[in-house]
Amino acid sequence: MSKMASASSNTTPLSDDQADAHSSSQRSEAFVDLDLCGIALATMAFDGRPVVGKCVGFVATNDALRVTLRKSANEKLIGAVQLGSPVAVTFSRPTTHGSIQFKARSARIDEPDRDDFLAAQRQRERFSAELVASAYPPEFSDLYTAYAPHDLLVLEFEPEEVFDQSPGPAAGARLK
Amino acid sequence: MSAPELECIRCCFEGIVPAILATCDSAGQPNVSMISQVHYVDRDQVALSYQFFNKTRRNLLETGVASVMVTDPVTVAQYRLELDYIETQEAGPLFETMKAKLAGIASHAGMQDVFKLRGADLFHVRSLASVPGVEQSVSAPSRNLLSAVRRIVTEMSHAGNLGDLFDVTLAGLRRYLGIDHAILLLADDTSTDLFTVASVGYVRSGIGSEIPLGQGVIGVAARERVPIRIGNMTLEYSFGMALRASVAATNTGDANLPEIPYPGLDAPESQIAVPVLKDRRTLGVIFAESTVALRFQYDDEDALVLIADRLGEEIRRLSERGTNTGRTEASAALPLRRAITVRHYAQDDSVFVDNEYLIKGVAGAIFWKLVRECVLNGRSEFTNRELRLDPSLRLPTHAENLEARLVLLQRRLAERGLGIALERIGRGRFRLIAPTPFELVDTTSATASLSA
Repeated sequence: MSKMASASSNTTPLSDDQADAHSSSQRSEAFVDLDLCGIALATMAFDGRPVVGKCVGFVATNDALRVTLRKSANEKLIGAVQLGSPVAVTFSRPTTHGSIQFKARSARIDEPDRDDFLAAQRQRERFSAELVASAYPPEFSDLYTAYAPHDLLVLEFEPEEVFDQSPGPAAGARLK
Repeated sequence: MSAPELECIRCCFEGIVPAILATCDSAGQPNVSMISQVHYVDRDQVALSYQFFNKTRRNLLETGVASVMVTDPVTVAQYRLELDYIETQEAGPLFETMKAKLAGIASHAGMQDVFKLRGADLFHVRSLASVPGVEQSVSAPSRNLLSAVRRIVTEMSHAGNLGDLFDVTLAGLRRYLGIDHAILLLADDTSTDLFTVASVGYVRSGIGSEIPLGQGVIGVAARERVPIRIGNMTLEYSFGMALRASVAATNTGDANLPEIPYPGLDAPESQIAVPVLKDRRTLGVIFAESTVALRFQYDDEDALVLIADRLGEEIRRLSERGTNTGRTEASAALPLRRAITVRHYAQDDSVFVDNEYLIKGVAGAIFWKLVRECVLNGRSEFTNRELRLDPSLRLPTHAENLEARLVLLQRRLAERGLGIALERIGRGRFRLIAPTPFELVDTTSATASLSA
């Protein structure tokens, strides 16, 4: 279990018009293991429009989250982040739909290091198994999680806000 | 990488792989979430399901723009769509179609209690781009749907009467589209029900069974005049089970309200209902189902819509031909043998033959008229025209209604196996055949009993 996941699951929800303390703490149990999650990210492009993307792995430290993504699939998104656009990253577990979202006003682009490569490989293995457990065929999960190591970049940011993103009326409850 | 047309990536919108949706608030802060359904509307529009008033919803209302990533469940190819919000629809065909589809997705995901559609958010697709990645090549499809439709409509055009048309259509679905379980229902202008006139692939035909307008995929497709297709059944749309329960309750209660069992599968996974339309009016519904999940996809829907369109035309052709009737001829009385009791309830024109339910409504009124004429005047030959002009039958104005009722009656009689039959003897003419005389009991004058 990553430190970030541990921190988020132990955080008391703050006030929110849709927050529900019980459901939030209940839901947070669903995403204690972020290795089993699909990772989506978004930023805002120079034209003011959102840009959606996918990540292939992550490394969490006490302060920062480093998500790994494919350069070739996210050129516009990477360009927007380099220009200082804010970011949002959501982890979502297929078997439970438990989801958590991290947001920051900015992020920096970095080259992947050894830990990032290892984390991406671990994520691929565990998330792929999770997809199969959700009734997706192994051929699908294999392709869905595929990447080329030389095609990876890292987006690093310090989460300023954390939200429960699990489907339902309490989605959006702030956890940090 | 070149971008395909939106209609070429429709399988991305089947709800098999969740899409990723990104929005921004007015301050530029992004929000990203997994969503269960992006609905293909037409070649430059999609719709998203609005289920909760969450951050995504607030952002959409604030900025009106979104970015969504969808995945082809077969090739795993991915695409980014830039969307511009147009409007939210809270009722109507698009809403009902999405509601049915969402019910199927929710069932598959075990989220029936969470996923409830509040609105269909309609978007213009501003751009569509392929996301570079690893894709799987796809083998050739097992069936050429365009060729299948061509063959079916050709065979439909050769049908000589409505009964043949119904049979040829369902046989074509089975032979050329590989649809093993299908039902053809027609709308009843005198009530809000649809009634089964033909079926294929079931243990019992269910001919004469009724589906209320608005219930199940069949009833919703008929009411909204749009195809309804779901890939993972839910109790909400598993009308067969509910109907059987209702019939079971009915049979233990009021014996005057008998029903013909609906023929559907016990545990379908996929269902599709396509309305047969004429001048924006629902003539009927082609319904198909399967025990295989996600059996019917966008291309199957297109094929069935084309077949339903032709079916509407052929029904009109054959019905109008049927109205061109000859003169009425009196015939010799039927030979006398042991009597068959025909009991008529005027309240809803229910007819029982030898104490077993046969039919009700307009078809029941027609049969009651025929047997009365047979008993009182010794007639066995009749014309469509005289039925159409008889005010006591309260026939709807549209020509196909009489023809459809005659087909329904003909098939119900054949299923009962009593030897009573309606035999066509020429254009717009038919003969009532009975092995024995009738004894008639009309509940409006219960003491009066006629026999011949």
